[in-house]
Amino acid sequence: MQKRHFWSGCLFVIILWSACSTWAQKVVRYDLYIQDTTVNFTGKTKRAIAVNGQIPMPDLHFTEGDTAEIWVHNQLEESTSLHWHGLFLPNKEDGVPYLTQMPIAPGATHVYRFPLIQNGTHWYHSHSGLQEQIGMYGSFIIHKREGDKTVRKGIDDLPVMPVILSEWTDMKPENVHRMLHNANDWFALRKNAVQSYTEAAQAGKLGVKFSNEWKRMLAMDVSDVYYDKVLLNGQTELQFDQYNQQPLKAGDKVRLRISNGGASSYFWLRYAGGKITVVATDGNDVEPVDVDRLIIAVSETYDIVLTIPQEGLSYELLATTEDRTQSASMYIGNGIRQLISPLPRLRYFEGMKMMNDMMKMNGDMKDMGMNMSLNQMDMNMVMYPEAMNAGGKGQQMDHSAHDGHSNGMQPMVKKPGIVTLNYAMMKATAPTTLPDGPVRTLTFELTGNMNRYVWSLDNKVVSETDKILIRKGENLRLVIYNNSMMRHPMHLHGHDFRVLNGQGAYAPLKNVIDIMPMETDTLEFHANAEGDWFFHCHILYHMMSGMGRIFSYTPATPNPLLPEPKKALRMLYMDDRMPHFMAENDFASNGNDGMFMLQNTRWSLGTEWRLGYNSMHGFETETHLGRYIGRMQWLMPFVGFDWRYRKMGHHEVERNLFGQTNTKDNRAMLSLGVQYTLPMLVQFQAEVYQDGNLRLQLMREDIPLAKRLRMSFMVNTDKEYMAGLRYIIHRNFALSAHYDSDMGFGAGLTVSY
Amino acid sequence: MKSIIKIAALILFLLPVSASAQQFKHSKQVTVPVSGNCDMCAATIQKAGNAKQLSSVSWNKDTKIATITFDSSRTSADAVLKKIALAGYDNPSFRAPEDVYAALPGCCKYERAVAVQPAAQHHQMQDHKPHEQIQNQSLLQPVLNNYLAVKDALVQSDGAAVQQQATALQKTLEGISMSSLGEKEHMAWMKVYEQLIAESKVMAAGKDVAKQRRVFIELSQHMYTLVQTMELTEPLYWQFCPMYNNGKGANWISKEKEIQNPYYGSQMLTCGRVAATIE
Repeated sequence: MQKRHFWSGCLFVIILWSACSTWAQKVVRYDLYIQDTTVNFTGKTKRAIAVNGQIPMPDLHFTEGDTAEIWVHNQLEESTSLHWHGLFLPNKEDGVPYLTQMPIAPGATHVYRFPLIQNGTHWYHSHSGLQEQIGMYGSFIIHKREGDKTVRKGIDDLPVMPVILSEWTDMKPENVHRMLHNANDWFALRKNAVQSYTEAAQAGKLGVKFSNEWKRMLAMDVSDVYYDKVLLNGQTELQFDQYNQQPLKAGDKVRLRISNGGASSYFWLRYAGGKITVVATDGNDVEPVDVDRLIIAVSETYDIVLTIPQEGLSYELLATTEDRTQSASMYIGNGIRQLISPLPRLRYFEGMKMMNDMMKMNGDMKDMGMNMSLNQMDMNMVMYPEAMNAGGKGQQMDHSAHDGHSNGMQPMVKKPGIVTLNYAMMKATAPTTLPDGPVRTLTFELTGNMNRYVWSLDNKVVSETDKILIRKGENLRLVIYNNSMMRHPMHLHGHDFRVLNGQGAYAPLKNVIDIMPMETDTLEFHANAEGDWFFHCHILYHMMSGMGRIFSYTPATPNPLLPEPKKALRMLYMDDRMPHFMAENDFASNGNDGMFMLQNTRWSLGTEWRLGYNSMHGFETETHLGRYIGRMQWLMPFVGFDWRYRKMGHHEVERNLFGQTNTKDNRAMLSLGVQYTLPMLVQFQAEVYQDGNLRLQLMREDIPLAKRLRMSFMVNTDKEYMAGLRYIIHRNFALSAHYDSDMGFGAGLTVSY
Repeated sequence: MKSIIKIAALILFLLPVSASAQQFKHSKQVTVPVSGNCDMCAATIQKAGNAKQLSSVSWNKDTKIATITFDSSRTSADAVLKKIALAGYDNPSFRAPEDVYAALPGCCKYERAVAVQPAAQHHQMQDHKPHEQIQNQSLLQPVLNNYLAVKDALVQSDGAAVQQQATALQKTLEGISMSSLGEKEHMAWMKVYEQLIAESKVMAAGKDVAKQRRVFIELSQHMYTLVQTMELTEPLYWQFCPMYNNGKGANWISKEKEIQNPYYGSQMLTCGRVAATIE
C-alpha cells in the first residue's frame, strides 16, 4: 500500500508539473530532420523519405493555445515543404510550395511558427511533388486545454492512440503517375481487375462489357493504383494493449485518432469487437454515432471509440482498401486476437453494369433523379457481395424511396443491420452557424476522364484558371456536383466548412468532403483569413493533374516568403502542365514497330515508326502534334509529318481507295488531320497530306481479350492493315505477334515504358 | 527387430518433414495446437496455411497439433496462423471470425477454447448470414411483407396493384397456421386475424383507391397490434398523417423512416411524421 501511495503521489506531481509547464511555456518546439532512406516492406529495398529516422513522420502533440515552432531541416537532395492539414494558421505557414512559400531548398532549414487556435486530430504531410507517397505523413494532435468546456467525459479522458493510415508501392511514385496518365492497365492486372472479354464471358456479362466499351469506358474500378502494402503507423500490424503502463482490460474503451495519410486509397474500417463510435471528424467533435463500419476518404480524420468486450481476447480493427486488395490490422486489448472476416472481393461486372446505366453516351453522368448527396447512397453497393441477400430480396437501400430503379438497374438490396457512416449522420456538438455576412454561392462541377487521367473542376485544371477572388467577411457557399466517374475527397486549406446535411444549426464542420459520382454537396464557410488557399482533390495523383482551384483573398496582402509571386505561380502551374512520357517498341522478326508519346492535359506529341530490316519493307515514321478538345477529349485535331523510304521495285505505283496515287519511294509529307474516339474505343483518323492525298484510318490497341492478352488492329484507305496480339508478362514486357500488310507476319518482344 | 521398425517408422515420419523443410530458403518449423475435428478440418487447415515457397502446414487430427514450416525471411508463424484462423480454426494466436466459424460444416464445429459472452455475441452477430436470419424470422413475416407491399402500392396510388397485393395478403393470412405461432403472437393473432382477412378482402374487391385507403386505416391498426408482438429483424416505423380522414388522422406501418404517405400518394408524399418506432 505504501508503495502504491508513493507512485500515485509521483504521478500527481508529474501531472501537476506537466500541466504547469504547458501553461508557463507556451512555445512547443519540434525539430524535424528530413532524410533519404531505404525501406523494405516487400522483400525489395526501395527509396523512401524518413523524418527523424522514421516513417511515418513523428506524432506531434500540442495543447490548444500553444505556439507551435517546427524546425524543418531538409537533408534531402531535393526541395520539400510541410503542410499542416486542417489547421487555421497564417497563410505563409500553410506549407504549399510556390503558393504560400518558396520550397525548402536542399540543405536549408525552415521554421514554421504559428499559434494553435483549435484542437483535435489533424495531420501533416509534404505538399511537394509526390513525397507524400513515400513516407512524408504524420499525425498532428492538438489536445484540449484542461478545463475546456468542450471536454467530454468518457471520450476525452479515454486511453488514446493516434493512428495514421498509408499505403506503400514498390514503384516510384513518378512512375505510378506516368503510368496512370498513359492508361496503362498494369495496376488492374495486379489487382486481378482487368475485366477482359474472356472474364466477362465467363461471368455471363459479355453484353455488359460490350456496352461499357461502346460508351468508350475503360474497365471500371474504385481505385486507380495497386499497392503492395497497407500500413498503420508504418506497420502492417499494430497492438494497442496498454496505456500509461496499465494493461487494457475487458470493458475498457479506447479512442483512436485516425488520419488517412494515404496518397490515393480510401479505407474501410471495421471492428471485431462490435460497434464503432464516431466522436469527431477532421478535428471537430460530433455527437457520438454508432456504426458497423465507415470508409475514411483520403486525407480525412476520424476519432473513433472502441470497446473491449471480453477478457482474454484482443479485437481486430481491420483497415481494408476500398478495392479490397490490401489490409492492415490493429488489435485492441490483451489475449488471443479475435479476427473479423475480410471483405470479399468486389463484383466488378456488377459495377460495370451500374456505370453503364449511370453514364450517358456523351460522357455525362445521370443520376436518374436520385438526388444523391453526402455518401448516403453508395452506388458501389452493387459490387459488395456482403451487402447482398442470397435471394435478392430484402431491405432496399436507404434512399430507394426516390423512384429511380426502373432504368434497368438491379434493385439494390442491403443486408439489414450493417450501418455504414455517412455525412448526414454527423451532428456538431454546438451550433456552427456562420457569422453574418454577405452570402455568395459558387458552383463547381468535378470533371475528368479516366482514359487520359485528366482531372479538373469545370473542365479546367489549376493552370488554366485564374485565382478565385474572395473577400474577408463574406460567407461562401460551395455547391459541388461530381460529374466524373471517380469519387473525390475535396480539401480546403486553412478553413473548416459546414457540411449542410440536414442537421440545421448543428451542421458538422469538416475540411475534407468525399463526393461520390453524381452526388451534389453544399458546403459553406466564413472567409476569415488572408492570402491564398488551395482547394483541391486530395488524391495525390488527381491534385498533381490539376484538380483544384486557389481561393485568394482580395485585396491581396504581400507574402514575405514569396518575393516573386508571379514567377512562383508559374512554377505551381508546372505541376499540371508537366508532360508525361511513354514509349514502346516491338522487336519483331519482321521489323521494329514502335512509338513514343509526350502528353499533358491538352496536348499530345507522338511519333510512330515501322522500321523493316531491309529497304523492300521500308522505313516509315509518322509524327503528330495535336490538341485534345472537349471534356471527354474524344476529339484531337493535329498537324503531322510523315516520312518514309522504301524500295518499291519497278516503278510500282501505290493506289489508295480513292484512286489517288503515290509513287515516291522517298516521301516526306506534311499533313493536317483529326482523330476521334469512336464507340468501342476505336480511334478514327482522317488526314490530308500536302499533295492532296487523303487517308482515313481505323485503329484500336489494347483490346482486353483475356487477363493478360491484348489485341490490336488497324486498317486504312491506303490499303494497309495490321492485326496483332500481345501477351503481357511484365509491366514493361510483352510477347507479341502481328501481321502487317507491309512487312508480313512477325513475332517478337514488345518493350514498353 | 522392434527397434528397427521404430527407427524405420521414425525415418518415414521425419522424411516428409525434412523434405518440406528443404523447400524454403530460411526454413523454420514450429508446432502449434490448432482446434478442429476431422479429416475435412485437416484439409481446410492445410490448404489455408500452405503457400508456394512460403509455408506448409500439416495438421494431426488426433493430437490437434499443426506443424508449420515456413520461410522465416519472408513470413512468420503468426501470419500462417492468421490464415488458418480466417479459414475458421482457432489457435493460440488468433480466434476465427464468428461468421466464418458458424459457416463451417457441421462435422468441423469443434468446441471453442474461448467462448464468447452473450454481450459480445450480440455484436458479432451483426455480420451473420442471411439464412440464419430467416430462421429467426417470425412466421408472421410474410404477412408483414404483404402488408408493406399493399402500403407501397397505395403510395403509388395504383388501385390495380393494391388489389393484387391485397389478394396476396389475404391468401397469406388464410395460410397462417395458428398453432405454430409463439405465445405472444398467438394471442395477438386471435384478436385480429378475422378483421385482417375481412379488410384485405374488401381491399382486394375493387380498384378504387379512395375506398381502399379508407379500409387501410383499420387494416393498419390491426397490423399494428400484431406487429408489436413479432420478433423483428429490423425496426419498423408507426407513422401518422394528421390530415387524412377529415382531419382525424390515420396511421400506417413503414420500414423506412422517411415518410411516404399511402393516404395521399404523390399529392402529399412526405406529409406525416413518425409516431413510434417498433423494435
